[in-house]
Amino acid sequence: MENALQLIVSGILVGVSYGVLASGLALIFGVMKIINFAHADFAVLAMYFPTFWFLQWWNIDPFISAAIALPLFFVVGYVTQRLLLERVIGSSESETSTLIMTMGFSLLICNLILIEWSGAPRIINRPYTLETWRLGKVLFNHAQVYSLFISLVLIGGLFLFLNKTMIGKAIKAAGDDPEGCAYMGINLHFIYGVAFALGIAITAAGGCIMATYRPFNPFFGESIVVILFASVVLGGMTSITGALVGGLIIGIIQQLSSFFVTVSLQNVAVFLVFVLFLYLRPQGLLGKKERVI
Amino acid sequence: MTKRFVIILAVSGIVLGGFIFGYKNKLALTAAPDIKIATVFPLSGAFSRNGNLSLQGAKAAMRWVNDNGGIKSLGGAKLVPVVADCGSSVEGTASAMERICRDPSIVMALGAWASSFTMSSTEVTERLGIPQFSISFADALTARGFKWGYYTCPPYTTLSGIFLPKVLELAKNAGKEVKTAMIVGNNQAASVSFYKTCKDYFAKVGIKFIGEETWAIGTLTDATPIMQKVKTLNPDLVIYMGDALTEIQMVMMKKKELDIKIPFVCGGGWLGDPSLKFGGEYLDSWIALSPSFPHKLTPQDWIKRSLDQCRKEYSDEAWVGQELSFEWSTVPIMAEILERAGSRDRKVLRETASKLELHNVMATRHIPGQGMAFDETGRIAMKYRDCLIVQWQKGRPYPVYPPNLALAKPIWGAK
Repeated sequence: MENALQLIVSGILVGVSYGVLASGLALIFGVMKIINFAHADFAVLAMYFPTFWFLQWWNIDPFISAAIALPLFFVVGYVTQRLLLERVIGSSESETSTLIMTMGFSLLICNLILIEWSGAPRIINRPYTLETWRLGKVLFNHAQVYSLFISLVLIGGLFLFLNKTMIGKAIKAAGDDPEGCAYMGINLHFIYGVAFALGIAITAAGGCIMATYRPFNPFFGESIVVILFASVVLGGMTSITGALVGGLIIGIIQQLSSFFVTVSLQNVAVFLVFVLFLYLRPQGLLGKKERVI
Repeated sequence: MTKRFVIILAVSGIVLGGFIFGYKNKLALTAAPDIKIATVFPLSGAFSRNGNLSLQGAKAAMRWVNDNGGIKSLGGAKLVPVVADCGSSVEGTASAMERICRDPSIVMALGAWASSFTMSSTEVTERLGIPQFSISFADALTARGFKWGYYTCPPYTTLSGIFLPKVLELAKNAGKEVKTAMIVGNNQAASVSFYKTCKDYFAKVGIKFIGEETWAIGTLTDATPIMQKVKTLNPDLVIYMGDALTEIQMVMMKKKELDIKIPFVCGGGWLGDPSLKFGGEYLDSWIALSPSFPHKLTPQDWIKRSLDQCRKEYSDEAWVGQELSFEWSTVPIMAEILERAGSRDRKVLRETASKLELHNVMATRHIPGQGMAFDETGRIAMKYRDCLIVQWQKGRPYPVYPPNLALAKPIWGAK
């Protein structure tokens, strides 16, 4: 029983991290229809810079780095969208072009990290990294619990931004009906830039907090990008809340599956549930026929 | 001083200078051409760290040979690596080796770190008739009847045959009896063969395996469920194999976090990698098998050269681990073969390598068995096969076996 409880707790803690990263992906897909293959690599980039290097150079805590990463990667995302992606959006083959382009970004980011900081895996070694609270026989890792709360704040903040600000509402409108937005005088180029930048910024912050409790290397993105896509699809493609719930479900299945199968079949279990779920509810958990963000 | 004396002195100076200049140029003109060594390692992709460290070690060792007069029997010819990146793939390795070996002046080949890469690159060198030297230790490499491959490390079966009894002896000396064991690690070929050897040996000595948790290399995203199982099953010993450092870090962090004190015994010297220094204290008491790790007899100059070379071209390593020191078991041996052959002819080199017999000489200082000869398959001869046991203590790894090479005393289990 304690084992099952421990695995569920671990699943929730890991799942929320997936959820934060997936929410950025859902936002970008929901508004711009871009399948961003480089998404997880932006998180990995943030794990190195600012997280790891700020800690090495100036002893800046990774949770503070997460706050620094938000504006930093907002700018990176905005520039990437306006200078590169913007040029192919709108063309007849834009979905394919952006897909290939983001694959290119992914390779570029991985290899730039590799060239600049080598392939050596890194660990953030802070007092909270391995310390635990004990509730009965169930352990709660300090770093993961802090990350859980910060992740919820990040997603809550994103939700509020999208629902309570003019720009947020414009982003949602652009996701629902871009043509209508254009007629209403909304600058779609700017809105797309902000949406992409927001998605990248929240992912980068998610990467910073994820780095507090797990090691990473330049290729770490490859190992989680499929899980992020699965979270988004499971949650309902364009729904941010759905992406969070999708991430949670995947995290819990990943952990609990070890009761029944060996760890090598962990992801098989995840995708088995994923396929079954989509068979029963093709639009995903919170997905609707119309877009929700 | 007369004017005439000054003129004579000036003219003598010019003439002497001319002689020195001419002699130096003559030397330069007649200097022996370089000895080109095809050097193939994974320098990009998932195994780039291992490949880059191996390359830095090889470069440092070649520079040591060159600084000591090069290959004297070939007029002081220098060893020069002709480097190709095999890009962390089996097919990439074969094509990289093929590409650089088109140069007819390639004398020998070196590489390619992982056994599977060496397997494909030796297909090329065997066909072209180029002696290739490697540290790879999969048994399958020498089961193909090839004639041009030379392996300076013992095969996995021999390594584990030496390692496992020593580990049990260590437990016994600490007053612990190992009755149960569990396997945790990736399921790549070398790991699987290590698990099999462990299972066979433990079955023979009456140790029961009570669990096995393996995964495909690079796919582990969270170590919680695995370490939870280890904690629940509570074996006396865990056999652990990992190659991806990130996965090792995940396992070691989770072991510490869940306060698991069971001894971890590992089949690979990667455990001494300096990149693990961040959090190295979590590895205290972990034991690993390594065919190559700086020990008591490894010359300090070799260690310094490796670190200097690595800092210059790759990364700021804190100490020399397995990968950075591997090629010191190979390059000095290659130089010795060239020296004895006194020829660049590949067939002559192969014959010389096959008859090689070295013991307690400078070239064998870094080899645990302190000697080098090759058997008919090209593998290091049985009499010189030995391994090192490396253990983390107080935040860094030290060789703890064999006693004559050890730099620390072994301990059993975490405190």
